[in-house]
Amino acid sequence: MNGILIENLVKTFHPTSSRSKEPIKALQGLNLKVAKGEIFGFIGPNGAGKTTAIKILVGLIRPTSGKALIFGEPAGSLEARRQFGYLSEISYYYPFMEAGELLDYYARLFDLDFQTREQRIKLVLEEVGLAEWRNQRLSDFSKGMQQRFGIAQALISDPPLLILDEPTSGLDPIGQKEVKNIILKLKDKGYTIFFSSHKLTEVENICDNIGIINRGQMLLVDKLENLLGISKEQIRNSQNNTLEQIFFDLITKAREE
Amino acid sequence: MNHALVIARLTWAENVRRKVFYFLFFLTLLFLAGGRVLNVFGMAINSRLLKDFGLSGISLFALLFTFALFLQALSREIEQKTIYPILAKPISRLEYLWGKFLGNMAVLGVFVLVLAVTLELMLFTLVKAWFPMVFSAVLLVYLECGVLGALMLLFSVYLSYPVNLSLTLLIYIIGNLSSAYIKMVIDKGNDPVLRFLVETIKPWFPQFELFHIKNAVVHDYILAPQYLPLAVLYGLFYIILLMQIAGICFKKKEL
Repeated sequence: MNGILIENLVKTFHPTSSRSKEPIKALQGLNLKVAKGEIFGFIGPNGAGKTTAIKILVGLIRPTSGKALIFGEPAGSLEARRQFGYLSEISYYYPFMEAGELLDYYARLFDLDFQTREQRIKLVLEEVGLAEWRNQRLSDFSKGMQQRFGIAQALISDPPLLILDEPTSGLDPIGQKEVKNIILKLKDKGYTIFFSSHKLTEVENICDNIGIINRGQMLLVDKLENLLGISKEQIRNSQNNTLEQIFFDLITKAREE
Repeated sequence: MNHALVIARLTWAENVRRKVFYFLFFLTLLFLAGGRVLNVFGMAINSRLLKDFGLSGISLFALLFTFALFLQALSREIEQKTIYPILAKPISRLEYLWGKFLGNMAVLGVFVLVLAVTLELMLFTLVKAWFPMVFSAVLLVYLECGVLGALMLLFSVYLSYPVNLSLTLLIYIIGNLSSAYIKMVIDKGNDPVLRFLVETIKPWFPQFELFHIKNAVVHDYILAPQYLPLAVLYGLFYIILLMQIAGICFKKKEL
């Protein structure tokens, strides 16, 4: 079974406040599959429709038409929402709450008993390197720590799938490296990870499969090795931004058309 | 419902850390304490005056407290995106709204209970007698605030908070028009718009005047025994109705 299956997904927004009343076609027949256990990098320029697709997957908005399934369950359903953890592009958490306290509230939404909650909180905080910060208020956290806390809350129910919307967005290089290492660790543990990013080198280093989206349509989906014609090991060691070149070529061509 | 209680606890935890509520709380206590020194201004203090003054104060501050609690309860969560990680988890939007409502009502409940006990103690120290009807009056004020809170949550699904505030106030004012005033308008009957408003529109709005038994409590009138349970049922009916409508609207809202 696919972790994520999207078929002919269309999303049209009808602006109410802007001057233009023209509908905005954010997604125009998007198709993609994410197999269980793989890391899928969802890349595209600003406004390509990445966040819209992710919001449909997690149930924050509804599609105009088409199908989006998570482990066979319709996106947005309660059953589907038990299957994934989600980190939004910009994550704000209650600053007055302690990390462990807020994680406990999130865990309760999965009906976990006290003992399981305690175990999970301890485990996920260790996983993201915040074990010693359990009793600290989130207002004391740096942006990088908040993002790592965001990954911790996404992991709290030990879901098989993680949906991460630009997880390194706005972080300094150290923060980016920390988050990237966490994702690589999770990959080794067998999680299915779907993440969007602007950072092509990051995608190159982490992902098995890559999808490039532009103007609501998938331009290309393929394994990274196939795209670049070199092995994964070579990709990790490569100093040339080869994916960057493919990405720019595709987007430029699509824009010219 | 279990999930709603989780959100209610989270909302409670959020509210008890907000300094503005402590400020309002102590302001109200100060106001009530002021009731004991009315005689400084030449007014002979007695239990009726104190009940009148105290219940008016509790009504007014409970109303302010309700607006402070509910007006931005939902819009703030949406603007700050704290709602995203919650709604991506297996909780229905209706449960979320009920959670916000119950959490806010729990804070409001503690607020009015402490004020009612304070007023009762002040009355006891004044005339050495208990006035249980004070609690009945405060219970109805609490329910009135509950209806207003549910109304604000419903409006906040789609409306900005200034519009929410204006509409809620308008409905509150219309719902508070007394039967005597309406009769007077209908009897005079020259303005067809006003007549339409009071005859056709008002009955659909919550009749907030039903929650006001202050005069009966102040003057020790005896209320019909079924009045209080019926008023409570009326309040609960409106709260459930408004929350269910809010749930349907919120389910359709795109975040």
